[in-house]
Amino acid sequence: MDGESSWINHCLDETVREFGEFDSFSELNDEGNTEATAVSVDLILPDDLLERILAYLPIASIFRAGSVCKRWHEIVSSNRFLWNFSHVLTQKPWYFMFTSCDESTSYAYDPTLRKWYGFELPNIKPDCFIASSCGLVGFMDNDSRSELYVCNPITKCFKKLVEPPGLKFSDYSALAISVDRISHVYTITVVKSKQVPGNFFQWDIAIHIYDSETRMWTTPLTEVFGGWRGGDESVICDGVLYFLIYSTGNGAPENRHGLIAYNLSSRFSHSLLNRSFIPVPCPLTCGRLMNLKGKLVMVGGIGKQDRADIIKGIGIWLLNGREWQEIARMPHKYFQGFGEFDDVFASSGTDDLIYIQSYGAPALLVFDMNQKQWRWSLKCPVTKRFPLQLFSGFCFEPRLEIAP
Amino acid sequence: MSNTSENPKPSSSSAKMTLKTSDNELFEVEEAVAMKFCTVKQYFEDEKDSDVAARGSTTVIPLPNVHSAVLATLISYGKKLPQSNAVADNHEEEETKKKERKKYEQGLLKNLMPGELLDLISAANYLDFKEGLEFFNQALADHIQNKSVEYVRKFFGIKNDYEPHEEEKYREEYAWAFEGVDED
Repeated sequence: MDGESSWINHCLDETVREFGEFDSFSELNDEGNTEATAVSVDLILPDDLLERILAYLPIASIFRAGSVCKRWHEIVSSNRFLWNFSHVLTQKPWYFMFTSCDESTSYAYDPTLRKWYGFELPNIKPDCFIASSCGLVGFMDNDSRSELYVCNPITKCFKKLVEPPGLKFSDYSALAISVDRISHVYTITVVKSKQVPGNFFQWDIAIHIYDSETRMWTTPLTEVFGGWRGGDESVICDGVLYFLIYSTGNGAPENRHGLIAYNLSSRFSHSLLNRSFIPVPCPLTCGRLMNLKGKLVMVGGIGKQDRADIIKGIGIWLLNGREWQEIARMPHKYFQGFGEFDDVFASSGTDDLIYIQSYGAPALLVFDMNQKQWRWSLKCPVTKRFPLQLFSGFCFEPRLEIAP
Repeated sequence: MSNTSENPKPSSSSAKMTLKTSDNELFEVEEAVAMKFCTVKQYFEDEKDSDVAARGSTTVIPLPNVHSAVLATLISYGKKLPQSNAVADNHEEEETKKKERKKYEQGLLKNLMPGELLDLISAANYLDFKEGLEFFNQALADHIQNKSVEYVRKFFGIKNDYEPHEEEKYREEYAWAFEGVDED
């Protein structure tokens, strides 16, 4: 297991807070009065009570808590704490940003403490296929498209999986992962698309599923799609695999994209395109799929009616059954930074947060689904060094207790 | 913080109970609120079973582990919680009440010294006051979440029992977690 590489760098911190966001209690009441409480209350707080308090802390604070003293370290490393911790709260997802420049460090954004950490994930390259769920990140290399790993980026625990079956060199692959929060069993899916040789219109589609319990791959479905192909967007929500498909014909703009919903437990083996097709809500230039609290959410570039490859806005939709509900549109002042053309942003999200990031700049926009609010993250320490430098990233939930 | 008991408006169904603190203060509390302290509830139910006379008002429940100042805050917090016997509100009323509670909670925390949180947590734990415990646990976690390790040690009165090289190794391994903390 390649868990020993040093992932941790000197961190750059930004303690400057934007927009007067206050944790009112600790900001206003801290006039050095705590000397008065230097009583040995360590005896008064029993372990189980201390555990409950520490369980409210964000991940970085948990690591610091472990260095307070040996008793605290025992508490935060105990199985009981990790078990309870996993049930108390979901952590807000961090965003890991790649920079396509070899010399610079990569960073991970923590929205709870509003900080960027210098964070290395050495085996994950920017062009890898990446999927994450509940603290685990699955990634597949882009070269052979068959080397698949699962890791916990916080604990640095890695595992290489047995190769997925099927064609090694597909034209398109979409990766998704779903972790059961209670049992820690996970499912990985790879949707492969390969053009039928000599036929522009037809594509071989295959869905491969990996189960971490059996450690085996199955291929419940292979089908030839006429006029459509898969791409690299997929996600699993509540036992259903969703993936975007793209028209290979010259149809109307609103028909260039489509969504397939495949129930993982149904395992029917044919007519996927006919049965499970869901049209998209508007002419999309690109779509990004994500799982927010078990619901499918899509962030999409909205194309102009006459020039569908030009983005005129970015929207967020939620799928209710087979109907799309528009949740939000990016306000113009934020959208301005994104550029005009087709495929210009990365987006991922989980729990309540959606991150949207323009490929051309290290600026990160955050949308809170709960409060329906847009805001920029704290400024990333990375700066753009040359005009064609690209940035992308993905989000993951930081968790301590889960291992691949 | 008020040390005296408050007089709620008389209502037909609110029986009152008297709680006695470690410093011999008496607090008259509506039953609905006092029942949120499960330790009190248990005591009261035990008393009822053993057939003591009239409900509530003649029974004084002793709380030898809770100081009056702390109890006053917990009672105050308990009063602001949605009462289980209250008439169901419509959505608007519920939203207004939620906002009021939020405001009250913020005000409460602003006026507390961080050290008092520990007393409140201990007391809420002793009283088995679930909502209070959750609230103050969260408040304490929020307070320490970006503090340095040294601050936390001082605050809880903890002696560092790590060897310097042990601590050094740990800090190096998780360097990212140790930067950018609030100044002490």
